[in-house]
Amino acid sequence: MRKFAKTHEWYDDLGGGKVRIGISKHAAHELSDVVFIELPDVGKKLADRQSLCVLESVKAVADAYSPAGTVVEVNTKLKDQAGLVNQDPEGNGWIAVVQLDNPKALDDYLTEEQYLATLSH
Amino acid sequence: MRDTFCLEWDQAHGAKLVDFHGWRMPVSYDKGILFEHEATRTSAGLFNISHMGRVRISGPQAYKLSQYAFTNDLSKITIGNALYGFLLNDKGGIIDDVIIYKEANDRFLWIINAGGRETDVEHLKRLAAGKDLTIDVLSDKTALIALQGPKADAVLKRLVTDVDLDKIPYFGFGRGLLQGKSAFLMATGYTGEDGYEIMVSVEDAPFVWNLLTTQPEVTACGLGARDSLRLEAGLPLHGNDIDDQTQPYEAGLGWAVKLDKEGGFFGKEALNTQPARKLIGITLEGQNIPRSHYKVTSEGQEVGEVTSGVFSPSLKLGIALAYVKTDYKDKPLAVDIRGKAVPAKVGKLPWVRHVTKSKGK
Repeated sequence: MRKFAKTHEWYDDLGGGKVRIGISKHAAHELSDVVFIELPDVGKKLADRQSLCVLESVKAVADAYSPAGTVVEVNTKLKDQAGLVNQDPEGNGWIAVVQLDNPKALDDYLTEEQYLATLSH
Repeated sequence: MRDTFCLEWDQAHGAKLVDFHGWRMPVSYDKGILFEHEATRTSAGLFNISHMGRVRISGPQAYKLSQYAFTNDLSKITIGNALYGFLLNDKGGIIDDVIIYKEANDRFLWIINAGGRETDVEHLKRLAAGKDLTIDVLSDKTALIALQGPKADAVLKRLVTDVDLDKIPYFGFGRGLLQGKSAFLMATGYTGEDGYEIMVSVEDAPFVWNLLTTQPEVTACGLGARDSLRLEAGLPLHGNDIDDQTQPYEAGLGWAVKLDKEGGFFGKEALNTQPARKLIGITLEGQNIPRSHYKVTSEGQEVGEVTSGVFSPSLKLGIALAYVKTDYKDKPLAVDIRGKAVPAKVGKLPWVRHVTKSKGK
């Protein structure tokens, strides 16, 4: 099941403790016009809720965060087409796949419904 | 928060609304900043800038006040032309940067920033004490709409009567009818493009806005594109690059200050023409974008700060205006981005300027 963070990331459980990570439609809309993404290297170890990558838009800069783990794959298409994050944030605009240190880490995150409820405040 | 005539249209067109100096204004519409920026550079962009203030000073001593409150020299322009300059406080700090349009020998229209609507008028009223003139605040009675870009002139020509746009020079203005609605047409702007800033009555504003947005060459734009366009054009933003704590010479804007004009001007004695820091344009290589408040360093030492930074859609790299200690402006510079010193090049301003109209006198 897809989980969300209050910091506007989504996490898809791919099984075996792997998660695919991207930013929510809401975050992509708020950032708008993402032009560069500083992608992490495959193999990079991340502490819990450490910055996975930096997204630079025309007007603003934002981090995307991950639970503790190791980067096993990055969406290399984003190197030339950072705009994919705006066009399809919850699909082709995914950022990376991370092997979690704790496979149960996603239990602490929000369901889509809970996440969307945080946006209406 | 205050709203302009355009709120309903904005909401119906996917505007992302933000608070700008107390005004609810769009950052961009549904197609985004990059699209709007490009549309303005290649065709025509339309901007609602009614949050800005408009003040008319008229009467026997209107010239005297306007000249004394303003750093540039109004004796140098004829009726139908305008000048850019500053309203200074007694410390020489920039209360606001403004454009004054000379309507008659005894009538001047001031276009001021949104943040200056109250402060500028209070300042002008103080300086006007005992003088024979009238200060008429038009801000709520009128709307201001900017049509900018290489096709702005052709679009407007198609829609206006009772005015010859070719006779309006850059920084000039005229009155005409926009499909029957009385309009004040000013050949000024904040994008580095040819174009017009159009003042109409607040009652006519929705009609004029709808008329212009439905022209095929025209794209409605928000403040995001306005910011990236003005930064590429090397134009300062009051509140970011200049404010009441900064002076014109350190901002590189001494060209709009006339120290030797007859009668002087308010704040002149406090001006420092040899400032310890200077506002410069810088660019960063690679995928690095300088942002407001990032530190500027030289060989590890902090020597300045970015005041405005953006990804330049035209140059495809990060550009910024930054204050740098005068002694360091020719030394190797870097911008500190998340702890990394990214080498910065000093750029020649403006980066982009496509104005083809020439100035009048």
